[in-house]
Amino acid sequence: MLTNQLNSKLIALLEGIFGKERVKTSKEELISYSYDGFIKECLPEAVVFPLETEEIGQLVKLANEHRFYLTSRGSGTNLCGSSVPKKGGVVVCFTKMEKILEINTADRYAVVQAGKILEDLQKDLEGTGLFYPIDLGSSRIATIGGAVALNSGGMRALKYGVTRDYILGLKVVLPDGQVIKTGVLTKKNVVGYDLNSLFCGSEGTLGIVTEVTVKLMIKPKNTKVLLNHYQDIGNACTAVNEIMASGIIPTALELADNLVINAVEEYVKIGLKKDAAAFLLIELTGDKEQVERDSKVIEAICKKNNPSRFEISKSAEESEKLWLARKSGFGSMARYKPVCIAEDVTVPVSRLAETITLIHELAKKHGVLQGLLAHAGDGNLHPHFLLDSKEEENKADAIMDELMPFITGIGGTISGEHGVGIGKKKFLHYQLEKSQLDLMRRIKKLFDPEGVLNPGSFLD
Amino acid sequence: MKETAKIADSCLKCGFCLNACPVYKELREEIVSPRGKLRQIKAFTAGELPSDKIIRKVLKNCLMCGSCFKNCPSSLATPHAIQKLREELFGKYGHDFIKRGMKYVLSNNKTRALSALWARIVYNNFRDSLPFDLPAGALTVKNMPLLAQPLKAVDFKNNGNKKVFYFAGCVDKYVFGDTGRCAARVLDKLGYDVMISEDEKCCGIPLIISGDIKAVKKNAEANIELLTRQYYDYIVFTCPTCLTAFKEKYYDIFKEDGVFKNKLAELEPKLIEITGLIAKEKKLPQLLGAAGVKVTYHDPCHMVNSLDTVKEPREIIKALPGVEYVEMNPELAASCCGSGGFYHVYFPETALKLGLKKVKNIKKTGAEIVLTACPACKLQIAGSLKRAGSDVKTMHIIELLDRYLK
Repeated sequence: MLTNQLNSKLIALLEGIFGKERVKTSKEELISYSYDGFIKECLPEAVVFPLETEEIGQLVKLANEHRFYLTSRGSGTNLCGSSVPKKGGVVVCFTKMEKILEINTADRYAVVQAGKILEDLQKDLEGTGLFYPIDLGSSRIATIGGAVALNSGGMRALKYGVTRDYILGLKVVLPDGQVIKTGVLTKKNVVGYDLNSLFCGSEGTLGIVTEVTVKLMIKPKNTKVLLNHYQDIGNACTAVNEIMASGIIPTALELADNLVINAVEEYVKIGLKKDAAAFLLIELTGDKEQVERDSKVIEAICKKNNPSRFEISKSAEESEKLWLARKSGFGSMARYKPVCIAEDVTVPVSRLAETITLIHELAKKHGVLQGLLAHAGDGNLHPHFLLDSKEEENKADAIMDELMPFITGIGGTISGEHGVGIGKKKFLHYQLEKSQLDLMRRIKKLFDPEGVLNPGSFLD
Repeated sequence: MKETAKIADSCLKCGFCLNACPVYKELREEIVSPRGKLRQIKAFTAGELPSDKIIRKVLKNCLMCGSCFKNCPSSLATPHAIQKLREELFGKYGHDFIKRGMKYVLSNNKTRALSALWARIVYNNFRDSLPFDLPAGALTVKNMPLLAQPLKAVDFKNNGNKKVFYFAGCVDKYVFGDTGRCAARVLDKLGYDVMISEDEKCCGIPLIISGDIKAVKKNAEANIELLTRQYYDYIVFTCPTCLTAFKEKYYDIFKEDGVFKNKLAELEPKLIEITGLIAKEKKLPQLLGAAGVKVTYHDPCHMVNSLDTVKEPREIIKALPGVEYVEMNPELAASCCGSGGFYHVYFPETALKLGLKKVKNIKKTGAEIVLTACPACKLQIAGSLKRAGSDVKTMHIIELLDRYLK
């Protein structure tokens, strides 16, 4: 905190903006906003719940004037600690700012407030034939504002891309209190710097996004899911590469390793093959003919690579049943040990097999239980380290310290979709040279000279 | 206490429980979310909270619907942790005046019957002549139902049919006596020998969830004695919450009492919710006449999250010839109506919002009747519909079956 303590005079000023009801200062309230989906916690000194962009404008001016920190937050489901108030100050919680402002079916876009929950947005779109294609593991509760801050990817990124690809415009409160509206309603736009892309993924360091205009897509009507078990992880990875080279773009191409298979089977008992090295789950969507045609090609590729079991869904219910194998992955693993750390390295897809092998070797070497879930088509790997206590975190770090140089050496990234926050900060130097990081710091300084927004982020 | 701390400490903070929690969804404040509650329980047990004043209120602000448990990737027993801490805080503060009154009324069958009689005479005669309306929890006095004649004891006919003990529970006995009578008639028609007893006591849930498990021990013992005194094939419930008392809470009460714990375990396979029993009856459709009504169904929280009885009520409804069944869509059907034990008395605003949201979803289906399988849901939904000026009827499934029995 710049001033180190929010005194009662400042609290009164906050109450002047938000009203008494929407300013929280009790210990219990502060504890409730000291965490997100990451392990580390930091206490804020106050929490405010904006309803309007104007309120945030006033808040930011106040923060500059009285020198206190602001950290914005949605539902608090991110996995890197980016919404934790690392240096105290005020948490700006968007959960009450969740209106849908416009759905335009003619030009296929929607304007929503930052606190809108992704699943609720999908529900609002029901009956329009449209959908917002980004589907996160946490879509049930994650907010669009959080997804923009972290440029979330998720399950369907293979076909549809990531959050950044669906932002047409943003309403942003800049760190000096000015409100700007970025973007246009068209996909093509080459006028000036692409500010949408700059704010998206900036982890709340450059401005506070209050409204998002998202592009919508036509919802595909048909789905087919294939689930293949492989006794050899190399075969599974070859299948992935051949699928990616086939010209067919699956909506999802997911991989789970043996530990995940066993965890899921133990928990949900759906008859997975427990001795398999991995399963591949492939989802195809589109019109009926397209899905039928594509599934034949994919089926041939999968079978060519010697699956020990091959399944394909014949109905929507069957598709859902097969998805259970993948969707239960995290929860099933989570019950193995008290602590579960999810990593997020991403590699070019041709390097998938060797990367997975290396992860397995390193986990074994350091004596850590590891279960791997991967958005294999994207080369996005989520090794989950299952630990007995938080004190064992250093073991996971040791693995990552050995893994990271390899990942960045082959052109991969230390984080594909979770973000840096405080979780991956220690690995940042593996990927960003000082000159690049310095440039980012200068950008930050330009936007936020007083350093009011999200202090303690990856830039510090 | 160690147990509670362990549950709280096992939370991975993924936040998946937030959108499952009816209270969080309404208030959108982390402090009342299941994840937030667990984190505060952790802080409280570690002595990090300045007092227990706020956490007491926070823990009270829970419908005990169990959907956080159901939606937790690690299946954390969050409701159990909340319950345990409520028990600890009850030890320090005791009951408020509402629950003190309830304890007096519910602990003893005579006071229970007398209170019901008194309420029936006074309330039934004056409700409609009151010149003004009064708030009653999330509802108002004028939106509450009149009390039916209480359910009377019935003895076995000993006709060789399978013997069913029908455990009606306070509400279906004293408020919705008709539901109880319908249940008895339907069971009889299905070929069961039905018994209803004067000696059945309040299951104790209203006191248990306030943390007072001691006061319930006597009632629980009496109920278990009553149900083990002679042979029954089934013990049937029309109130899923009463059933969860037997299936979950009583085990906690008799944790250190081997005798009763064993008796309870012996009873367990016979305990069944009424739709769960009836759905097994192949001959049901033949007993029913053409209904010709459009209905929808509301899932009571405990049916979904504790008893896992979701398919059965729908199967029964669809067995009715001529019924047009419209789903609210599974998730909306299972969203809490806002009743939640005595939640609606302590947090009428949130409960009312939940009730009115339910009304909106019911109206969307265009149904003439909304069916449910829980007397507390029925009370809350019927009251909310009336309050919203809707003429959609609310019924327990068993009442609809009874209406169309040949």
